[in-house]
Amino acid sequence: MGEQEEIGKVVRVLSHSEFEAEVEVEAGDVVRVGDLVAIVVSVYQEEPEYVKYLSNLEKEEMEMFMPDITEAKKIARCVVLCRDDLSETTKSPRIGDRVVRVDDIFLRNLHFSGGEFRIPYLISLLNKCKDTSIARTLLSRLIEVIPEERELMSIILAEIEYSMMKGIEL
Amino acid sequence: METGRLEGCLMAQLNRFRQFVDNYRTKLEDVRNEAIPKISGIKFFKLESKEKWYLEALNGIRAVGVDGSQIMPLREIGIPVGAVQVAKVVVVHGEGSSDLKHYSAFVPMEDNVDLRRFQMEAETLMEEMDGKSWLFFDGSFIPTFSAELSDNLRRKYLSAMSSLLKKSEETGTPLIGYVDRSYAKDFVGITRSDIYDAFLLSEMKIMTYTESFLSPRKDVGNICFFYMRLTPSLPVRVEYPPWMRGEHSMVARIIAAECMLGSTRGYPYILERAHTHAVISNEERDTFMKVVGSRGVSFKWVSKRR
Repeated sequence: MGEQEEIGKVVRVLSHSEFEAEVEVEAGDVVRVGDLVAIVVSVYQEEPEYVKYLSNLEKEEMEMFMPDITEAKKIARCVVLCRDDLSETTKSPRIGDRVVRVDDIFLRNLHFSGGEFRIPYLISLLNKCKDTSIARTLLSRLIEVIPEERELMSIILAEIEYSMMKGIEL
Repeated sequence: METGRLEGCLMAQLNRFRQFVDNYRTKLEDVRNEAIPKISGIKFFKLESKEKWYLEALNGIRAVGVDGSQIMPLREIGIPVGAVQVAKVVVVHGEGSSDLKHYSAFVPMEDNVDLRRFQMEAETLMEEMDGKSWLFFDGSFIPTFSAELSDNLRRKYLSAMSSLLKKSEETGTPLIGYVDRSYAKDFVGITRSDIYDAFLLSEMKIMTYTESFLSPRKDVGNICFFYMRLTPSLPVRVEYPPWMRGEHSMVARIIAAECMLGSTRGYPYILERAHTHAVISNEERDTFMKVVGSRGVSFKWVSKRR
């Protein structure tokens, strides 16, 4: 696995298993910070920098005169899944650490080494992230990159969807 | 040899240090009180006070701020190469457009990191000399050299500075050197007192500025300077090339307006932004060291670390 391009940096550490990064990604994307593998569970816009400016200007005036600080930042909240050998971790990244996007080859090698499919962090992900669409997005991608295990993952996916439906009154 | 040494470690001397500083200040104040009558001829001007006057002053101005930072070669951990990062921020006030660019370079231990940083800042400013933009440089155009600096380095500094000032004149591009905390003593010729100018003018009214003067230091030719006080802190020093002297009041107005936009109201917004982007954070320094990798740690250095 070669060096991958940095797409952003860690800007906040929320707990040992959660952090935020200023990065251009979508919810469900998998990223890597050092030897940690994490999944983007939500994306939001952060207040622009102008809040620290003690100015009596209107927002429109600031946009015209200080345009470089009025742009909002896109922040991704990430949940750590495992280390890059699939082992469990309680290590957290540090502010300023590089965030790189994980490609399909890495994802395949991570989950499917020696002909054995493993996804040990799934239960903990479902516990940490109540939005089950994140786990579904991840599984759908794994089905694409590890077609040999399509059947197994389709069952897991169906279980997740069933649990989602259980929570909705039809 | 008498060195004025005290017995005991530095941290045990804090009270003495405070006393030393107090005595130093008292002496300075005495010198200032004697010198003040000699500068009574200096003209002071008021800045505007109308609400949001600074937006009117800056409307349509293309401001460029350049600042740099560096990592010195880390001899102790065996990294014989330093690095420089320069940030350029461009804002067209009133039009809502801006741009940010970074430049970087590696500097072997045999070269001078400070010189390279200055050369890069000068180069970055010069590429923006279009006859319209207002260029802001964080520091003085009149370098103060330490006695240890070699003649070769001095020549290179002066050459880069002269090129910067010359191109500003040739292209008619306003160039500002903003010195937030100046220890220049250019009024010594008038006062005959060994006191730095900003302290001498520390009683000037807030939101005022002085007339323009020519610095008696001619290392890079003629440089104009003036002092401006925008906050309760000491006045700041502003320098510009002599060709801009006819626009002195406009220069003061634009700089004060830039400061009004800044988060502290005492430092130009455009330089504040350039500085923010130029800074190499501790995390980035750590990464730099890790990536570059050390080759032979100095055990003397390790033994001194606590």
